[in-house]
Amino acid sequence: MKRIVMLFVVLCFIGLQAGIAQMKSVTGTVTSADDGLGMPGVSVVVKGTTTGTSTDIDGRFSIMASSTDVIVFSFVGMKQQEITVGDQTVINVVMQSETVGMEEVVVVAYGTQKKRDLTSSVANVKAEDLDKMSVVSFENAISGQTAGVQVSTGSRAGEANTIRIRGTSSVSASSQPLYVIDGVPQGDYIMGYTGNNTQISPLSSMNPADIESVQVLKDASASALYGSRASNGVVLITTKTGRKGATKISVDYSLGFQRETDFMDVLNGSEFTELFNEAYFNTFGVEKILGEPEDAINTDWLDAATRTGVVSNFNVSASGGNEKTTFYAGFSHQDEEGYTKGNNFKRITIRTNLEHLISEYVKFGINLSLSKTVNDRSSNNNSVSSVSTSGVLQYPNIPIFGDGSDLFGEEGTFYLGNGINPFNNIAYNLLNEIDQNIHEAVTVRPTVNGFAEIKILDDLKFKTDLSYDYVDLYEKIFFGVNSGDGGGSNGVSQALTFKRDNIVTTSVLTYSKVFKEDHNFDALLGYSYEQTTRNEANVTGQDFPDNSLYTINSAAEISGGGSSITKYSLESYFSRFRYNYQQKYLFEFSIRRDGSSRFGKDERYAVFPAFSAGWIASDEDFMEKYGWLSLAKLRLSYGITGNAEFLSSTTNPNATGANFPSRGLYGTGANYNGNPGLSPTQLQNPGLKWEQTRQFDIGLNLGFLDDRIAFEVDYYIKKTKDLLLSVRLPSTSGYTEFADNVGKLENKGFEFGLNTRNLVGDFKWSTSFNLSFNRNEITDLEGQIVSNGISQAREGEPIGVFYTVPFAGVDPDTGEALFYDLDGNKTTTYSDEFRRVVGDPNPDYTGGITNNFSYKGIDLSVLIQFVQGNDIYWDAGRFAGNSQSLQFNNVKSQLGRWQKPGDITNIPKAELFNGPNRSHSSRFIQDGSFVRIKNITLGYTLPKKVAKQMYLNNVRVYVTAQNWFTFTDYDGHDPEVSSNGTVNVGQGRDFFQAPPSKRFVFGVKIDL
Amino acid sequence: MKRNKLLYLLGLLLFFGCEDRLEIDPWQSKDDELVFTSVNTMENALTGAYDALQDDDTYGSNVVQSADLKSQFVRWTGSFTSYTEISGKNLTTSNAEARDLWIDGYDGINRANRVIDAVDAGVDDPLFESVKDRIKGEALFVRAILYFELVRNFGLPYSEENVGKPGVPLILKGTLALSDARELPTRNTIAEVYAQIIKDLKDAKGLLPATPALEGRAFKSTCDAFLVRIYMTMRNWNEVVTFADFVINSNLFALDKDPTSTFGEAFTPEMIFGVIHTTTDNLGNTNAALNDYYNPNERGDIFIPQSTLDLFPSGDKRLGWFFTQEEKVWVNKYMEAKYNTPVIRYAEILLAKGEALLELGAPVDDVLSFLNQIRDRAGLGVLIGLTSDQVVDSLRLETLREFVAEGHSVYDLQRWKQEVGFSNDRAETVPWNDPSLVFPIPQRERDVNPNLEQNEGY
Repeated sequence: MKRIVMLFVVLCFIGLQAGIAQMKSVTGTVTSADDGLGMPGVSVVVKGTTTGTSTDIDGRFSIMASSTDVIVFSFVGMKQQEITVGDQTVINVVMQSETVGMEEVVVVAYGTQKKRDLTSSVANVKAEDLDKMSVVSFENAISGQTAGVQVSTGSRAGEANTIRIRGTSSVSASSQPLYVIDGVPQGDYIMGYTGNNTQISPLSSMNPADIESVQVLKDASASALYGSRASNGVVLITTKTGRKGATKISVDYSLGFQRETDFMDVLNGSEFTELFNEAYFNTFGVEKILGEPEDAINTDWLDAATRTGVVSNFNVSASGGNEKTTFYAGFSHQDEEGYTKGNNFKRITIRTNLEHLISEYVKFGINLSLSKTVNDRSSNNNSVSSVSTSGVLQYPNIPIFGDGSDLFGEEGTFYLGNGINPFNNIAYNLLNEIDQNIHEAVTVRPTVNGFAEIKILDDLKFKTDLSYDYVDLYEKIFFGVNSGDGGGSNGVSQALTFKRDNIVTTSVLTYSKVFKEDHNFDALLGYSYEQTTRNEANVTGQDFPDNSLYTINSAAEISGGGSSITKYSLESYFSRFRYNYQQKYLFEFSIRRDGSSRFGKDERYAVFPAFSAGWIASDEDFMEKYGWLSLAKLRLSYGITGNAEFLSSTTNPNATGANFPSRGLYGTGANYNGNPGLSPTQLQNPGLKWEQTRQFDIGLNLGFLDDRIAFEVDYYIKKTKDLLLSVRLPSTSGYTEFADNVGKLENKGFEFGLNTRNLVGDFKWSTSFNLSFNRNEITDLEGQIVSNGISQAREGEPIGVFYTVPFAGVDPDTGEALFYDLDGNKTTTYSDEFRRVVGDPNPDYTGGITNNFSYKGIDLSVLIQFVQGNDIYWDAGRFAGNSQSLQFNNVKSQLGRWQKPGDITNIPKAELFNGPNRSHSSRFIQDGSFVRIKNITLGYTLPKKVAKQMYLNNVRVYVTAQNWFTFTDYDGHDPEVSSNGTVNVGQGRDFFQAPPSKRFVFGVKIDL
Repeated sequence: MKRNKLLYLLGLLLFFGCEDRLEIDPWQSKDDELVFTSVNTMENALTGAYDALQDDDTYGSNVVQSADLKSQFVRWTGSFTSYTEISGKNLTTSNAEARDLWIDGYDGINRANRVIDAVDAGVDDPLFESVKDRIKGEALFVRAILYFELVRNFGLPYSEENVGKPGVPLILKGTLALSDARELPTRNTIAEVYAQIIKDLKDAKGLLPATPALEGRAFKSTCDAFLVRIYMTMRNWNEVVTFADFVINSNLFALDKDPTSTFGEAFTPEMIFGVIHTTTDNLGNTNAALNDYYNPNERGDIFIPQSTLDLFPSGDKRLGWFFTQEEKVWVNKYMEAKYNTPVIRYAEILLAKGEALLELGAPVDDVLSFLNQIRDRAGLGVLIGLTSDQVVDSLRLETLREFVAEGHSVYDLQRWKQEVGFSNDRAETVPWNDPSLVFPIPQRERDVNPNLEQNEGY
């Protein structure tokens, strides 16, 4: 080794000596083919040396070189050019944009690969597509942009989003993809204090502007190298790095506002009075209990508790470097006011990515990031203090404030009673709650990732990295002394901390070699170890002097507290071989062996192999006559992946991976009268093992007319077996369930992608379209039924079907609700025996279409997203869309209730407390299809000359309208629902979920 | 070059993993086989069995609350579907309170069974001999009273015509292996379940000390008191008198002078058995404690109707149990989450003995001597010279007054074979043995165990 290095050093020295002899000065200008203007910051380097410079503001350069030298011109996004000096002393270069498409390099598991050579299904989202979106977390930006990826946005800033790649491939284990940031797998898909209802996405601490690209690994061949966590697909996120050349500084500022996309249309005071009077009469036989409708007070609670929130985002980044050292540094500050009063999100992020060549053989780098997020969270959907809940249910015929009257109390104080309404409606005075309560979550997250890469031989490289990722979350929750939730205890305060640290180390040896020009071979051998520890602590106090003194120190009584620790580790060996002949016949094989602390000794290890092959038919001689066909590639892949993220609960939206699911355990906490107690909490199953998914994929890539039309289609079958399931037990055993591997499910589907450059020239128009069909079926559950409320996993059905009593409309003679009995006859009886599958939350197809137009400096981009054929169970409708439950305010559609014999309607007569009918039935199932104009961005880039006069490189101003138009028949707040978080059985059920926001943003981006 | 070499070394080190890296034990749990290895952890497991009594689905709250909602002496106005169904006597088979009583009742029974099995198996600990009887006795007691709540909620009331009908499955062994857990038991008859409860309580009495080992724990008299209640349910009047005498003659209990002092955080001399709540057991905003429902400053879902107030004459000290807020009357027996749940009070033993003597045809004055203790304590005049019919009425009225909002009334009415009303605004009544007063066998259980027969009416 030493000898080889010495030899290199000697050779370099000789080269240098030779060079000095014939040096001359070479000058010139580098211009862009796009606009003919000089390009600043282009790297100009004498090939094989460290001699280099970069172009000045006008694109001019000057460099010393000899006539035998080759000068290399490079710039991000442009084709690199190499020019031999010869006798030239002036070299003018025109830089061409790099053709996007098959030549681009994409990030894959533990490495990169030319897109052309891919044999697997990988979707790619580039920085420029993410940049258009005004989002807190990047997952929100990818929905509608890639085939096979479905995103249901969490409605509140920073919340975890539900992402499904090629359908749901588990019942009781997580179906969220594995996120890998700069090569570091992120163990958590949600995080936060376990007892809290809504958890935080670990990606929300990441600034989307720092992201260079996002790759979604969809088939088994692409993802299998991540083995036991790859069944749900893998999302690779790569952050920006610097390139050698002049330092680029870029500043982006945007300012805008946001509102909810939509709210339910609720009854006003008069309408409510009319319906309530009728309901009271129908139930108790007393007329006009609330008086005349026209005399009613009209309070619009939803309007009163919401606002137009101001959102702003500031980003500044610098990148650059020289031959030896490159860097990227980014800073961002995001400040968003939610549309709900009291809901705010603030984030500061700093990132530095640094790489340095110690010598020709050794490179090291370090990625450092720090973020701080301050989130004033709004209440959970199922909490009565939530705006999206109480804003609907609260009586509209009571005032917000007292008016000095005996009934409503002192002027200027919040009115907390029921007014003239005879019943205590559980809804709160929201304005009082907003005024009284505090819920602040502060997350600080430093991450460090250091690596060293050693070139052992020209073809053999060794890379090792160590990453440490620490999350520190602190939540202060206070229900004020006069609040609905804390009032009874004179204020309740909670302090919660959550600390998670994740250590990952990976070492990879790679070898790549071309034999006899045609045989391209590369191999990889790797090892990794990961360990994740979660620490939690909480304390609760009650009885506070007043609302300004709300930390636990001020509590008269400490009423609760606890702390817990949990940990798991994963140790893996993996390897991959790739071979291609003439870059035409492509083969790949990979294998990974994972060992997890989560399983018992007998089933601790599992092996995950994958194989794929590709054939680029368009490179064959016999295809030459079809000149219009620029690419024809056929791909095949098959592989096995796993899932060990068995959730601690099938129904809890915040269930995290269970770390000890196979053991028979006695748990702590079963205390009595201050004495410590233990109780049996888990039944042992020593045979518990990994969930296994086998996926077959066949794909075709076609390019026409020099890739102006690029078409891609994939068909896949994804079969999962040994499902990790909480199998129900007769409770007479003392246990309700135990963890087992039971049953099978299947996802299969088609994905289409079509990218076209419709118009080129001055007026450019390109379209990108994607469409995915996925069919999910649970093929075997060994007779088990997994239920989460009315959502079930049942054999022979897609996952999460709605299983409840079928509604049969309203009896025109009596106005009573009717149901179908087992024989299909209509009856007024409501019985659980009638339950059957009445709805499916899985869409028939999903997709998106993006159109980009540009003319001179003007650009316009429109992204339309659509979801078709899914059912939503409007759980909130049982309360607010139910003419038989008028002790709550209802939506306007209930005005269409049955009133007199002969009325034909689907809305029963107005009633109160009609128990069985408020229970679940198919009456609340609705079509969840929607089309959403997700993003419209209009931008104008100042002509370079104008920018230059301002001493700037580039100036672009833009306006973005996001989620501005939504077309749907759904009656709830918004059709993009994920009330049940990321759980598999429970999707598509909407219990007053707060709608996402729509926003309008103005921005300017300046490259200095 | 030196630096390069170091990096090689570092990299190579990382290549060598070892098994230990995957050996991680839980922090908040203990493996099954490590629990019954010492008396200390065995005591912890016994405490765990009492914790099952404190669960909000058992004695922590629903044993009182669900029973109250079955009769006309309170009013339900809340939004929870499960309680609304109980209140309307139109339960569905998926009713959450019925389901959770079944699940958490059997969870507690398993906790007790595991302790009983462990005592029978023995532990290698020098302290074991001195505590084994008490530990087993306490576990038997816990098992017995949970079976009692299960059988009277899921089975028809005990009566000659009903004893052969299905009660609940009797599980008397702890579950350790998967194969045990997957057994599908059938329902034992009501008679069999009562026989087991009586056996457990009598066995427990034999093993337990005369005074509690720790506050709130079972001792001889708690077994006697429960046997009084159980024999009352069975209308076995002779046994009622026998066991009531055990309690009375123990001289451990007395009526509290002030009836309002009985309810709160501390045990008074009147409390024979209650379930202790600490502040941390049921936090105020978790919808899991009695105060959440009975206190108008919390959810305020259960109030006291005028018809119940009308049962009390003016001057009755027990009117101190009520207060008016927001134009409604509420009971103050459960003002805070840390208030204990009263389960058996001395007053019940006195009234039970009176009722048993009456049924046995004892002289009216003998009966009145017990009834008058309660009236006297309430500040009402003592009754003298009544006919036996008048004594029946007075005794029943006093029983209804005394235990208002303590989950007794539906069972009292059933014992007297009287009609039962509604806790909503419906004025109708149903017969004492109406199937609508019995919980359905939870749908969930019948889904996993087809051997469980459903109750009439579901």
